[in-house]
Amino acid sequence: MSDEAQGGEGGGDVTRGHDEQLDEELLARLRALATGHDPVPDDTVLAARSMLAHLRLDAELAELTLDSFEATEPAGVRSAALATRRLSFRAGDREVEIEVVTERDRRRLVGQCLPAGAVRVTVERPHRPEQPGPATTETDDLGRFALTVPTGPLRLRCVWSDGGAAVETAWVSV
Amino acid sequence: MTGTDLDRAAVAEDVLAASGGDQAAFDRLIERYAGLVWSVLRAHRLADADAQDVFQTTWLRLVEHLDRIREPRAVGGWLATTARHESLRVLRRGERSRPAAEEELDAIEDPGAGIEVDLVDADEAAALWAALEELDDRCRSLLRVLMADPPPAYEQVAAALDMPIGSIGPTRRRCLGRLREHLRTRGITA
Repeated sequence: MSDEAQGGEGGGDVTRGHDEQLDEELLARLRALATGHDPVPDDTVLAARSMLAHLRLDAELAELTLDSFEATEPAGVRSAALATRRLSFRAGDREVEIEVVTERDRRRLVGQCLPAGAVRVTVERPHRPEQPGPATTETDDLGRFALTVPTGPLRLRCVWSDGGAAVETAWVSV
Repeated sequence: MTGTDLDRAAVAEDVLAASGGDQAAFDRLIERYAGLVWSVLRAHRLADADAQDVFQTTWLRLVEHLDRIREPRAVGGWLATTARHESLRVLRRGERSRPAAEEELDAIEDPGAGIEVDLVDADEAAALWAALEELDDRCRSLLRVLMADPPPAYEQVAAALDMPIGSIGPTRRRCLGRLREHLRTRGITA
């Protein structure tokens, strides 16, 4: 189906030939194995298709600028599970800071929207039939909020009461 | 224009169309790259629940970046990089469920779980998985990404594993050689 596979081949030098042919055959067997025994689950593909519904229409994207778990030691260090995870997002002069606290199978998000002010914060999660719709909360006058959410991907939509563009954070999995 | 150039032009068009809300274009991107993204998660040994989460997050990240990807033609590499980053996040979180390999082996032992493919019968499949598991991490993860369907371009493989594009060919050759040795001890010629 795709001819992209040719992308990095080394070209027709002397090392190509019989071995290369055997390698291709073995790889074809491995590919058939993966396709047969570890395919992308159908419902996972269907769920991915519905993600286009999350196109940002009227908000600015606040990019992830800090993920404290990204800054920790290499993979395999398990102590991170006990630590609080800090996330920062930024779009121009608007920032969203979140601490993620693990509470068994749920996550408590304690955060602040900056500049400080009264902000409506909405948690958006990918559409799944069994899940409730978005949860909304109002911050205090300093932009502070606390929410408890299920694990999985989410983003926050923040609308400042003093007007100005709404901001949506990048998607993160908590 | 080569076929690959045409392919990439079509991909760039789909990225542009999807950023305007074209569902068919987005579906085509998923069809083309779902196998690649999944292979990256498995190469990082994510088990089912984590893999599904990261798969979802990777496509959500694409949706949020559709209008700001610098090289729409190279969106495959972008997806592979994103899938790697998101996988590493999960690994650093350090609360994985059991390893994917175990689940894959279970699936093979359960005759109802896998779709049988003519090329690979159940015994051979179990032997191939077991032989893959005996490889070192570098080899196992490289081969798992190369097993993606459709076959990924080397620049996508490089992005998936953060390895230099020039080392993929030689590493692939070496790893397939090792795999062959493991298979031979199991009485399988390859």
